[in-house]
Amino acid sequence: MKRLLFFAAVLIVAAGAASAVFALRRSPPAIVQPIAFDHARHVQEELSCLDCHKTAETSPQASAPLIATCMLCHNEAKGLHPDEPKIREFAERGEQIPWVQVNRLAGHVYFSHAMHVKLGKMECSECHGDMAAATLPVTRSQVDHLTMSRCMACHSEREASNDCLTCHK
Amino acid sequence: MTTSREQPRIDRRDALRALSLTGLGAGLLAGCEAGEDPFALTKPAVPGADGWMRGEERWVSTACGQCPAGCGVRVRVVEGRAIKIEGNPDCAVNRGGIGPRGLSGPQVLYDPDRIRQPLRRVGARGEPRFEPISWDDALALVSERLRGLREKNEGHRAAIVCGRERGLMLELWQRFAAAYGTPNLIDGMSTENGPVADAMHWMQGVREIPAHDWNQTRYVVSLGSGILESSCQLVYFARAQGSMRRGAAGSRAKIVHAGVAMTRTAMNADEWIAVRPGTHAAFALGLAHVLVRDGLYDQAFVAEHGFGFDAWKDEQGVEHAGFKAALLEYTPEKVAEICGIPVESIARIALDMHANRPCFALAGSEALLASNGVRAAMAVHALNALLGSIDRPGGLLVQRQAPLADWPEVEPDEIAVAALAQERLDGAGGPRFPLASSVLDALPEALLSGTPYALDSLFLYYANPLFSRPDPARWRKALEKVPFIVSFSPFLDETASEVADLILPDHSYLERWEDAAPAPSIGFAAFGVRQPVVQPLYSTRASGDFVIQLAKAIGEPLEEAFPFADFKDAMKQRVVGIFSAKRGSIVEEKGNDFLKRLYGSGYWNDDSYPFESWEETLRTPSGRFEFFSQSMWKAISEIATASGKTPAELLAAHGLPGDLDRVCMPGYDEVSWRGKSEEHPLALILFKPNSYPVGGGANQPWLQELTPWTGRRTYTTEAELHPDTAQAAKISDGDRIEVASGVGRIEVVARISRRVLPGIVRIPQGGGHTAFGRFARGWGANVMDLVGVVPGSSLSGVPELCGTRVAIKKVQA
Amino acid sequence: MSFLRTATRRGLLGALGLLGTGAAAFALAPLRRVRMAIDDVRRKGRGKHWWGMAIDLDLCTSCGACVVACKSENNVPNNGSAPDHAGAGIAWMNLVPKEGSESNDPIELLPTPCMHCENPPCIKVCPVNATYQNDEGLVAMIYDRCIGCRYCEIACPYSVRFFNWTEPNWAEEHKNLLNPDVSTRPEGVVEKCTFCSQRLRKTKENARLDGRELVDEELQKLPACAQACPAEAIVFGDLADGKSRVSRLSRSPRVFRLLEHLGARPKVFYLSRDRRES
Repeated sequence: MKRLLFFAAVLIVAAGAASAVFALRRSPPAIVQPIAFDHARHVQEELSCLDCHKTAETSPQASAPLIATCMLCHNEAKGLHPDEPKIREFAERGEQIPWVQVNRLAGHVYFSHAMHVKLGKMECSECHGDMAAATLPVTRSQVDHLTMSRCMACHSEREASNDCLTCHK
Repeated sequence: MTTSREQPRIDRRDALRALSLTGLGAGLLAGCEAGEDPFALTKPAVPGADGWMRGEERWVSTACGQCPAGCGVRVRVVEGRAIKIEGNPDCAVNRGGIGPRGLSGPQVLYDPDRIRQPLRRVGARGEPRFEPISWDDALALVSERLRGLREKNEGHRAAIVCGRERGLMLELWQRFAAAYGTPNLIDGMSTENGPVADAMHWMQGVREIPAHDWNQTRYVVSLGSGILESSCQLVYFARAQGSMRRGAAGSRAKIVHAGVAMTRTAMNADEWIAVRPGTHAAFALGLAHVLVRDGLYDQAFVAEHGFGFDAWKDEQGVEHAGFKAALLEYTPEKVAEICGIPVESIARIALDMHANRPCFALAGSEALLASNGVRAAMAVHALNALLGSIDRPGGLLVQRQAPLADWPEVEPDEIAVAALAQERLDGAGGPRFPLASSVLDALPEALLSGTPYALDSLFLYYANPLFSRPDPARWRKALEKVPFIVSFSPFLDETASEVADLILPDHSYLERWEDAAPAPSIGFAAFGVRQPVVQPLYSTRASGDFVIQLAKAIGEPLEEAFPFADFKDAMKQRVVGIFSAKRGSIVEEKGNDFLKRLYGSGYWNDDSYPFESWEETLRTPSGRFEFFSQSMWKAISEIATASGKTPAELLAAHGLPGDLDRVCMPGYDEVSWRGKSEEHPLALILFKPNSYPVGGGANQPWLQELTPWTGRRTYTTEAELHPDTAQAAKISDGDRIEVASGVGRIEVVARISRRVLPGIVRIPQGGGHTAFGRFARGWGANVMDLVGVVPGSSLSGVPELCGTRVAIKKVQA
Repeated sequence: MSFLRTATRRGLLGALGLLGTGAAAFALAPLRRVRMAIDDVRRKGRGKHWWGMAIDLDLCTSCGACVVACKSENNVPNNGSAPDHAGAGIAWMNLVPKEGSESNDPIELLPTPCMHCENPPCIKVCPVNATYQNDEGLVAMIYDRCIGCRYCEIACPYSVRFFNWTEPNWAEEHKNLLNPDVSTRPEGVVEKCTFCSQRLRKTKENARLDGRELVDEELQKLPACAQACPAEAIVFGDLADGKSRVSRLSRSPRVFRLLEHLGARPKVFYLSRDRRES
C-alpha cells in the first residue's frame, strides 16, 4: 500500500511539475520598449498600419520602421508625449530605436504577412487585436494563442493550403 | 527483523523509476516546447545590421574574389549579413552559374579566425604572438622605415610580392614600386601560368595567357590541362563544355585529353591518352609533325603570318633553320616511344584535328611545370598556329582589355631611377633567368646568400610562401634573413603567423572596392567591379587604400604619383575610359548614370571580338607569329653580351645544349628531374583540386567537404598510385605512406587506382596547414614540402612543381 | 521484478492511463490535424504540379557547385574534420562516386539529391508522420515532428537521408551566413533535400501575389543546385506539364533512373553520358 501511495504522490508531483513548466512557459516576462509608443495616437492622426509597417503587403515580415521614418514627422517636436524627445536623441546619435520584437513564431515556422494581408485580405486586427485602441506598447506576444491547430482550422475554413510545407521551414 | 512479511521498501531503483515517470509526465504535458526553441536562431551582431528593417533583403552585384576568373556574382544580403552567393546572369564569364569556390564566399567573410585589427609581433618570430596596433601607428611605422631606406638610396632593398597576375591592384603596386624606386616587384604571373604566358610572349608578343573560343571550336586536345579541376576558369570551362556538347543539335565537339592520369578533365573528355610524365610536348610535336608531313597544316596562315617556319636569313645574312626542319625528328614512331603510347594514336589524333577544324590544343601544369616548361608551351602554341587557330573563330584569342583610361604617368625622381637600375633580387631579366620577368621561387636563394644585396623590407600581398610555394622550410630560413616583413593577409596564415612583423589585414573581398578584369576566357573586353556587399566586420583596411595612404605618408615624390583619395577613386579614374568609349553593354550620356549602372550590374563588356586583327594579336618584332622567337634570341644574346659571355656560354652555364637557335624554337627536352631515379624512382605529379581557390581554401569547410576526386575521405591528403607501383612497395589501399624526395618527406594516405600511370604519385595541393585558422590547421600534408625551391636549368624560372622524383614506403603503424 | 506487485502495477498503469489519455488528447491534438491533412492529400490525389528534376551527366563536370550551393542555401552543418565523423557527413546534394566495373573505368561523380520518389519507401516507415509526400510530389520532412528513429534513413535506397548525430556546430561567426528561410536542425533529427521547398514557396507566393501562373522559365533553375550549376546540367520543373523542359528531358532516350528495379519510381532523371548525338 505504501508503494501505491508513493507512486500516487509521484504522479501528483509529476502533474504539478508539468503544469509548473506549462505555467512558466505561458508567462514570459513583460517586454519593455525603449519608447512608450502610443499606437492609438498615431492611428488618430490617420496613419494606417502600412504607413509604418511598410512591407506587410509585400513581404513575409511586416517589419518595424527605421528611425528615418519616425523622423519624417518627429524631426520637430510635437510635444504630445513625454518619450518623444528620445526619438531625436537616438537620431542625433545616429542610432536606430532598439525596438524589442514582441511577436515571435517558433524557429521552424514560416509565416508570410503578404500572403495573409494582401491575398487573404485579413485585417491586421484579426491577429494583433485592436491596436487602434492601444495607448501603450504591447508587453506580451499577441500570437502565442496561434497554435498549429488554430492555423490549420482557419486555413481549412478559408480553403488555404494545409500542406505542411506551407508553414514549416 | 522479526516480521515474516517482507516490507516493501522504497529503494533507489524505485526512486529512479519515479523520477523518470515525473519526467515523462512533465514531458507529455508540456511537449517539447517547454524549453528553449531548438529551431530559434540568434545571429551575432554585425556592423550596420541595425540599419536594416526586420526581414529586409537586398541582392548586391559584385565580382567573385576566390580566383582570378572574374565571375560576376550576386550576393543575397539579409539584415546586413551576406547569406548566399549566386551567379550574375549579366556576366559573360559565368552567365548566372557559379562554381564551388565562388559559392563559398560567405565562409571567407565570416571565417571565425579572421584577423580583426592590425597586429605587431611581440617577441621572436616563429610563435604567433602579436599585439594590436592602430592603423595610424602601423602607417607611421611602415612609412618611416621606407622613407629611411630611400633617404639612404637603398630603396631597392624593399621588395613587394604581389600575388596577382593582372588588375589594378597589381598596377597600383607597380606604380608604387616605380615611384618609390625598387626593381623588386614580383608578380603572380611568375607562378603556375608562367610558361603559357611566356609562350604567348615569345611567339605573339603578348605576355598573357590566351583565351579560347570554346563556343565555335569542334575539337580540343588537352595536354595535361586541368581545365575542370585546377584552372581558375573552372566555371567558364564547365559552361563551355556544355555548349560544345549540347549547344546545338548535330554539332558535338570532341575533347581528347593526353595526360598522366584520369583526372576530372580526362573523365569528362571523350578520350584519354595516357602519356608519360613530362612528355606532353613531344606528343604535341608529333601531331605537328604529321600535319606538316601530310601537308595538312594551314599553309596560308604560315605563309602570310608566320615567321621562322622555313629556313630564314638574319640581318647579318646568317642562315637559320626553321621550325619545319626542327619538326622532322618528331616522327610518330619516336614520339610514341617517348610518350609510351601506340603509334597509331598520333596520326589518328592529328588527322582528326585537321578534319574537325576549327580546333585547338591547350596545356596545363603537369605538362608545363618542369624544366622544359616554356619550350613545351611553345610547342603547343606552334601546333595551334599550324592548325590555323590563332585569332580565328574556334581557336585561340588574345583577351581584349577594357578601354580603361590611364593614370597619370609616374615620374621617378633621381633616387628612384638609381634604385630601379639595380639588379633584381630574383635574377629575372639577368644572366640567371634571362627570359623571366619575375621569379618568385628564386627569392629564397637570393635572401640566403645575401646577393646581390641584403633585403631590408618585404611586403607580402596575396602571398603565403610558407605554405603555397615549394620547399616551405627553405623559405622559412630565407625569410629569417629579412629584418622587416609585412603581410596584408586577412588570415593568420603560415607566413603571417610565423614571420610577419606587422600584419595589416585586408578586407575580405566581399567588403572592399576593387576592379575584377576577368582572366582570359571569353576573349572580348570585360570589366567587373568588386564592391562591398556588407559593412566591414572588423578594423581591417583595403590594401589598395593602405598603399595610397602609405605613398602619401612617405611624402614627396610619391605623394604626387598617387593623386587618389582612395582605391575606389583610383579605380574610378580608370573607369572613365570605359564611359568615354561609349560602347559595350553600358552606354550612358552622364558619368553618374554610367557608374550607377556599372555598380548596379557589377559588370561591363563589349561582346564583339574582332578576329584576325593581327596588329593587336601579333606584336612580335616581325609582326608575325614567330615559330622562331626573334625577341627571345635577342634577349639571350644581349644578356650574354652584357655579362661578357657568348650566348652559347650562357646556355652552357644553365646546362643547356649550346645551340641558341634550338632554344628559341618550340621543342621537346627531357625533363631534368630533381632526384636520381635509383633513390627516388617515381614521378611526383601535384595538382590543385577544384576546392583550391586563391589562398588554398582550407579554411572553408564547404570546399573541404566536397567529395574529393578519389571519392574517399575529406580532410586528408591522399596519393594516387597505380596498383603496380603500390605492389612494388608492398602498399595496400588506405595505408599510410611516406613520400620522400631529396627535399623533404610527407605522410599521406595511399589510394590505389588504375586511373594513374605506373611510376607516378599524384597528390593534391591544399592540405598540411600549420596555421590559417581552426578549419585549415592540422590535417593532411603539404605536398610542397617535397618540391625544390630554386628553379633549375630553366632560363625562364618556371616553378618545377611537376619535375620532382620521389620514393614511397609504407609507414609502420 | 519482485518489487512491483501485480496489483500495484495495475493501479499505477490505470492512473497513468487516465492521466495519459488526457495528456495525449491535449498534446496530440496537432497530430490528429496532421493525420487529417495527410489523409486529405491522399484523398484528393495529386495537385496541380508534380515536381521533378533532370540531371544531364553529359554536361556535368562534377565541379561540386551544386553541393556547395545546397549547403549554403539549406543551412547544412559542417561535418568537421574529426576522424570519427566518417560516414556522419551531411550533404543533401552530394557527388557520389559511381565506379565502373573495371577500376580503370572513368570514375563518375553523380550529383545525388533526394530522388523525391513517386513511391517513396521512406515515408511508409515513419511512425510519427514526420515525413510525407505532399500533393505535388515533394517528399518533405517536418523536423519538429521527427523523433530520430532513423527508420526512414534505413528505408531510403539512395542514402540521401541524414541523421544529425550532434547539434550543428556553427562557429559563432558562421551563424551570420545561415539562411533565415530554412530552419536549422537540432541533434536527433533526420534531414534531407527538399528540392528547395522554401525557394519554391517563395516563387509560388510571388506568382500568386502578382496574380499569375508559374512559368517554366522561373522553375528550371529554381533549386539552389540548379541555379548554381555552371554547365546548366540540372533542370527542375513540373513533370505534370508535358511541355516543361524537365518533362521533355525526362522523355529523352538517354534517360535512366537510379535503382529502377526497386520500384520507388524516382523523380530525378539522369541523362547518360552517352556520346552519341541526341
